[in-house]
Amino acid sequence: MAETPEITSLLAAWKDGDPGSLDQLLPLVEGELRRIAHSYMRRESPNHTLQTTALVHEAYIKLLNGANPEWKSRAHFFGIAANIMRRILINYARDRVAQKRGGPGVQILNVDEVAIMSDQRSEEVLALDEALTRFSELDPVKSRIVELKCFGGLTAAEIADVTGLATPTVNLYWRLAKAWLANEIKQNL
Amino acid sequence: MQPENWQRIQDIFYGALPLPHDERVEFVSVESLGDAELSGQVLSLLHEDEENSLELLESSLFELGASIIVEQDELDIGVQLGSYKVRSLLGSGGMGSVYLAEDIRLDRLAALKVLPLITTAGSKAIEQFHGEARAASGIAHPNIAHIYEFSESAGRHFLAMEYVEGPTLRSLIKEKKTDINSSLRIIRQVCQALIAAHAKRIVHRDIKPENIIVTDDGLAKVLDFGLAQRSDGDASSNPFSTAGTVSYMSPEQIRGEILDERTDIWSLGVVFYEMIAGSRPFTGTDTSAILDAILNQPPAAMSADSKIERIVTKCLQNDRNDRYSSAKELLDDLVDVDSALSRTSQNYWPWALGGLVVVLVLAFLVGRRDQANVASPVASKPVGSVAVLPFRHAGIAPNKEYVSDGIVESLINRMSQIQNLEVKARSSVFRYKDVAIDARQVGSELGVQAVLTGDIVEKDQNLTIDLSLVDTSTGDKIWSERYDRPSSDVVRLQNDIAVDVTAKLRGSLSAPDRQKLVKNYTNSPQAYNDYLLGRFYWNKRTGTDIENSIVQFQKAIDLDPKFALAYAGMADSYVLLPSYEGALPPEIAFPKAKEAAEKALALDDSLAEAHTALSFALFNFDWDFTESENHFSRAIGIDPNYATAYHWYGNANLLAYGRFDDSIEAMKRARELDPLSLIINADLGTSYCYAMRLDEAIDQFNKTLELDHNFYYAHVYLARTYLLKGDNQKALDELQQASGLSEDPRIPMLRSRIYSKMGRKANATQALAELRRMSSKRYVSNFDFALTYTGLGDYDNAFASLQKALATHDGNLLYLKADPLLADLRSDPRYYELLTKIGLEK
Repeated sequence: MAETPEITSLLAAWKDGDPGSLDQLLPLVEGELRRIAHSYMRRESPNHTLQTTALVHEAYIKLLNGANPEWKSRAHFFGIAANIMRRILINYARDRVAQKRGGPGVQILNVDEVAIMSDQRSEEVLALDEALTRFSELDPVKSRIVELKCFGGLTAAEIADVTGLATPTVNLYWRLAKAWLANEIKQNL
Repeated sequence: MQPENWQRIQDIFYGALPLPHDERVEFVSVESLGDAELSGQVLSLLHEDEENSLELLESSLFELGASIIVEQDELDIGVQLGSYKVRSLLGSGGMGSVYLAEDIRLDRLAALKVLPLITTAGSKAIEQFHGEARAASGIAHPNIAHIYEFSESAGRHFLAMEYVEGPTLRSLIKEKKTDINSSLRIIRQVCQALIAAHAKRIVHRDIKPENIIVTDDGLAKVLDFGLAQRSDGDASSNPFSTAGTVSYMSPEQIRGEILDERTDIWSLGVVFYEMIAGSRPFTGTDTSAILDAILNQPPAAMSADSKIERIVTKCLQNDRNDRYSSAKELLDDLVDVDSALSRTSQNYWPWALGGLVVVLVLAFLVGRRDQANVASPVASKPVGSVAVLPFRHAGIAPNKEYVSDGIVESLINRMSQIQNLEVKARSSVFRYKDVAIDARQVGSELGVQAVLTGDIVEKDQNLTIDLSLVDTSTGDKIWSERYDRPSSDVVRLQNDIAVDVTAKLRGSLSAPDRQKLVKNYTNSPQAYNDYLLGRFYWNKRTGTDIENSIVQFQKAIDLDPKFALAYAGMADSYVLLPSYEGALPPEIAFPKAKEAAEKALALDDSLAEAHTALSFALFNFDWDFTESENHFSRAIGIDPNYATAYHWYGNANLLAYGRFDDSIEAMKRARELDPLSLIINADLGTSYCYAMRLDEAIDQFNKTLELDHNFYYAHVYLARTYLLKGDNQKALDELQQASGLSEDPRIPMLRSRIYSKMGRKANATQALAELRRMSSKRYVSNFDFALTYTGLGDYDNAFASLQKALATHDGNLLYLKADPLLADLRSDPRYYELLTKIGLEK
């Protein structure tokens, strides 16, 4: 692993409850993830179809384990992973929406057309983020399930595994959380 | 929802979940114990649960994030990919990033589209894509962003393409900057792009406003030709595919059918509709509704000019067999609308359109023209001057008019190469098209001893031409003949006519002269036909028509790559383009003109037109005075009757050198050869004006305006002359007239100068502001700014503008020495420094 010691200490600070450390952490982690992902890709045989998700997952594990070998707790790891992913998505969506609203009048080349997220999807993601933040004040446990499911890419069974809840409970919690968020987002959109 | 309620809400919610739908409401109201707010909250949650409508929560946001991580991989500035050095990031998205890069090998800028690693690693599609990019790189057209190459370096695949700066059509539409005229201009250009690409069997498949860039000069450039998703619908096969914009897709594209050129015509129709109507023809609340509208509904009604509406409707026919079958067909209709509109709105060259007006004016002028130089021919003696008049073509379909006009023009060109025979230029004789002709009248107006008239009929692929040669002093027929040939035999037909007529005029024909007359330029009748069509457009002298002519010349060249005349035509087109509104800027047009002229001369060194075009380009753009003179001499050596050669040489080279008397003589010679050309008449006035022979200039401009009072150019230069004469009010009056006819930057420039001279500084400054405003909308030469600042006494800014003109090799700067309006600068050392740099002062 070639990640900087900076990442390690920032991760530790974040774990210790310094929320500001995530802002500094994010670009570093993102860059590192990208580097790892790319190094995987270069090694792939030409006919191998790559799975973005699997690749990032693997890069994640490598990064986080490498950053702090003591962090064996799966829950902790996926929590961080989901949280980082949430931040990445939000930043992307924000850029996109900002570009759309006040973007420069001169758009030099057309490449941003329906890229990773459409404008609409970007707005939705931002709305979800805000709603989820409010939800976490109301119900931290259920909001965590949402984060793990939406941004961490985990299944109900995996979430159950990570959080120690029973799978049916996760499903029930998820159902209520989803209804609450849908209601909240619709009222605010 | 209040936290204190939350536990109760959950309890009731989970309690209601196992119940059937119709029992839930009662359950909730009972459990809420009459708390209406509580029951309302639970019910709305249950409702959301049943609806399950927020698709976002079920989508894989994690995968989206993963894509962002992997695909947004920006290159560092300064990194080199192949011969491209990355300068800055222009934009990025899921389909990769685009960088501004410098091609250090060719010393030019390029836009680099760099594919994301994730989509390229090990992808077979890359190979396929390679082939498509190679095909697309074969299209060279001013309205298409050129694909330079598709290549790979250090594991990164990238596409290098022409760097185009400017807003996309999308943003112009958003900012409501597309009025009917600019829309037509843009659509026409895109149409030209389609014609060029379709000729190479390349279909765009993704024409939309985001893919069209409009530069500051009004040049529309279509991006990503041939790079859109394949018709087989496999988006993954193309790393640049931009799925998602369905509004411009054709019905057959949605159905996944094999696509042809007509899908582009549909999409262009949608774009055109959107520009005119401000909304799209097929709309819906979501993608599937839009798709449904495209497939099953007619376009939403629009209110526009009926001609435009017809065109748009024809593009948007669901069945592609009902659409325009080619972009060319569409363009023809667009051009028709265009000229119809131009007639009612401002136009740069109103004289090119005002055929009828001119004829009326002429009729009025008859009888008071100077007839001194009209000698009476003696029947037995050789005839020294002739006008070949346009054939009457009652029996020819309107769309074949160019054949008739082309034969006449070819006769003029061939015969004018004969020594001691003066043949009037095309632009003078074509004023007699579709008019009842009296030979004696024409003779006196053009100063010729004979006129050749003809009637042409085409029937069953056969051309019949009846020719008569008439003595203009008596009105008697000298000679007449009927020619009957297959339509495909046009080239031989005109050779025979040229030989017969010339022999009749001269009494005999030498072998070298015969050689000149029967010269065969191409063996391909189709190529020759395209060439004739190109000349037909070129002669119409509007920006659109000249653009069209380029397409035709290119077609001719494609059919016969050794067809020198077609290259010469191309050179003529590019040389003229910078002078027309919305057309190409000089730095693009002149190199192309030179390239074409050089190619023409490499194939055939005896083409006067090519030498003339090259001479003009070398002078205006390269400032290579010596070479320019050489080619001019060659041109008139070959064709001593070529009016344009004298015109350009007189108005450009000689005037710029300050050789006023020579300039006037050359212009007089041009006028003699082409007595009714408005521009030649006006430019003779210009030469007088620069020579400070102001009364003669005024006289000459007035003569020009008698030919066509709407010729704005003459008004502008007449205003200039009055200004120099000190007749400020008359100068302002002329400008007033000109500004109703055109938006030429010289109008505010001169207005500022006049006000400066009158001591009305505020008005003068206001006119400067107007010039500035104009320059944000169109190309304005820095030279015009320099003239304005000079008037205002702001010499520093005047020199700054002149320096800018120097830096851009602005051809106007060549008049630095000659222009009397710059007299105030002549005592400044910076003035001589500039003259030296230009090469006008040793």
